[in-house]
Amino acid sequence: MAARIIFPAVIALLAVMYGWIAQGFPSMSLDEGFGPGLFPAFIAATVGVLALAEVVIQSVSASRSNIDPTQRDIPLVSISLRELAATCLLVALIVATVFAIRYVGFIPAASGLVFALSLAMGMRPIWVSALSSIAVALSAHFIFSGLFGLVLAF
Amino acid sequence: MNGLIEGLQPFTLLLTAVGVVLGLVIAAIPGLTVSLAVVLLLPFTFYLPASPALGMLIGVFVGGMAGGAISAILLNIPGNPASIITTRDGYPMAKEGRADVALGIAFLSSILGGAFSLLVLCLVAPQIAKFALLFGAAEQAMLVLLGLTLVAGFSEGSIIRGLISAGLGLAIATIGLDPITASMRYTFDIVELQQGISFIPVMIGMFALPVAIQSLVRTGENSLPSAIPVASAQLGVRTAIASLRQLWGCILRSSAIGTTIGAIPGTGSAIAAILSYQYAERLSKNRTVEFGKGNPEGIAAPEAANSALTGGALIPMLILGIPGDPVTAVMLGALLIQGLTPGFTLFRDSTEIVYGLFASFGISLALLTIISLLGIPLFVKVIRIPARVLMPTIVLLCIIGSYALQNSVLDVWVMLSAGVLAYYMQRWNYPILPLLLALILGKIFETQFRMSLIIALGDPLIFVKKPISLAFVVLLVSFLVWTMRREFLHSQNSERSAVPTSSPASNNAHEVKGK
Repeated sequence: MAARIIFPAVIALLAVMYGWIAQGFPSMSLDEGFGPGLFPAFIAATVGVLALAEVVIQSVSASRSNIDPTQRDIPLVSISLRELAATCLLVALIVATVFAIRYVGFIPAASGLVFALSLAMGMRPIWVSALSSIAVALSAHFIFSGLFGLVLAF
Repeated sequence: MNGLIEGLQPFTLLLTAVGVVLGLVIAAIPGLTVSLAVVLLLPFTFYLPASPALGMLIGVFVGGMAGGAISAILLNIPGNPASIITTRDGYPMAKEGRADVALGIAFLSSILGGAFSLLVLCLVAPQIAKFALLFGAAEQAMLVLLGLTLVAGFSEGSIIRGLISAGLGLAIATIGLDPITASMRYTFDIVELQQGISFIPVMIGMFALPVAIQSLVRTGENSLPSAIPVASAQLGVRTAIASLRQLWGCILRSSAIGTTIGAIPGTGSAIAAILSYQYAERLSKNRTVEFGKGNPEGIAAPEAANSALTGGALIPMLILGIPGDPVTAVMLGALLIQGLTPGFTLFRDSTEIVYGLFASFGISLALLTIISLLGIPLFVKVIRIPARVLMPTIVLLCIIGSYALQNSVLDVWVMLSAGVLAYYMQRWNYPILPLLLALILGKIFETQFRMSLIIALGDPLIFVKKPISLAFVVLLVSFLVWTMRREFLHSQNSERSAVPTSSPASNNAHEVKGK
């Protein structure tokens, strides 16, 4: 099934869970009826209804064969493998950097992140990428730690 | 007067100049936007006093709005969405060997458009602020709801998707302590979540990481086309000034359009630029060169409008606390970091800061005049830098920026999640601006909404019993009806126009297959 139907369906499901959790919030006698759960309940109901409406609209739109594909406001083409790979790579590199800062310190970890991203984005030659990565990490450390006093030990 | 003195302090002046140059450079690089530039500078404001911090951000805003024209004119690639329409006449004029004149007209129009909106801001803002002091809880709640609905309705995609996005933002804003009873909500026993999800890392992630993912996806694609050379920037600006007599009407009209559009939350610079271009095309008396083939008004109109948007967008942000576009949303964040509360009380309680910001706006325009005369050769070189060369550094700054807010690793995870969510939301045509604004305004909205109900002893009619609140409700309902009707008619039209073209084509395809 196309992501344009799955995404609002997931949101509708999340809205139900969000609203269900809100039912468990304590109610104060002073403001009974409009306590901490009132606002989340409103949001859950509104988002749930809107997400279901979007599921219906997209399902009907998908079933109509006479709509010119270029006129659709959400492209039928699903997410490409290249996009998924790019997302996973970026997430993995950021997660690895945050953990690496704890064990090897900011400068080596930040240099590694910048170097890996430079290579992945096609920056060549490699020695230029390596040198510029170290320069970027050192500059960032100097500005944030040296000048602003930020402790860069995550 | 004190505001002007604030803006003229050497440190404020220096950071304003840095902001203008950075705005120009980043907006000139295809693929990087003004929003990204402002977001990247936001972490630096944690360590700065209010006036220099705001001066730097307004400098980026002013410089960025003008910078988008450079790549639009010289490469035929718009530096920001507002400059898309500038390519229509800017690039043909540059191809004729008049790139310097095209840039001169673009910069001059940007400066005059910005000056017009600053004048309107100075004259109108204090008056609206006085009126806004009449707002109580019910009025504030309905105003925020109206603002969110406008942003959801004007954003790309359908209003349903815009409202879903806003709903997600409001839901995220409820995480943490309840603003009235202080009970825990959605914290799942995680101590760091008690303070709620800060919108700063969300903002950083949502503006920067999608650009990084795109750069990774596009690795190996063809490089940029070669830029058209600029003969003499100074001569270009002088020629533009000489042609001001023919352009002033167009610039004035476009500035008025830009300021008005900017003051309506969610409309954006692209709408202002397109609308002013359409008016210029319709009302122009200068037809020696056709529109789309290098007409000077075709450059002046969009550039004056998108710069005039700057002052317009500051009106709802400063007076009502409702940012109308991504850049003012970041500026609102900067104000909150400084311990200032945007909204009508800002004019009463922090007059110096507000007028200091106005002064920095004027100074940014003056600096833009100087920098545009001296710096054009540099910008011509800068636009050749592919965005992906800067992306690794930008990603590193995102990690540091989100961590620096509270020295919390959780904020880095929030930034990362927000970035990935934003990328896929944009892929499926869900706007991200409503989510961001709802996250920023969520706490205020909930507090005022529930306070109104508590004051009215639970009577929901409180929102229509007060005249100002009723006016907001009427505007809200009218806007919803208008938007839904417009979207329905649009979908009907696209279906109708598709039927006669697609049916025979598909029939032919079947016939071919059959044969």
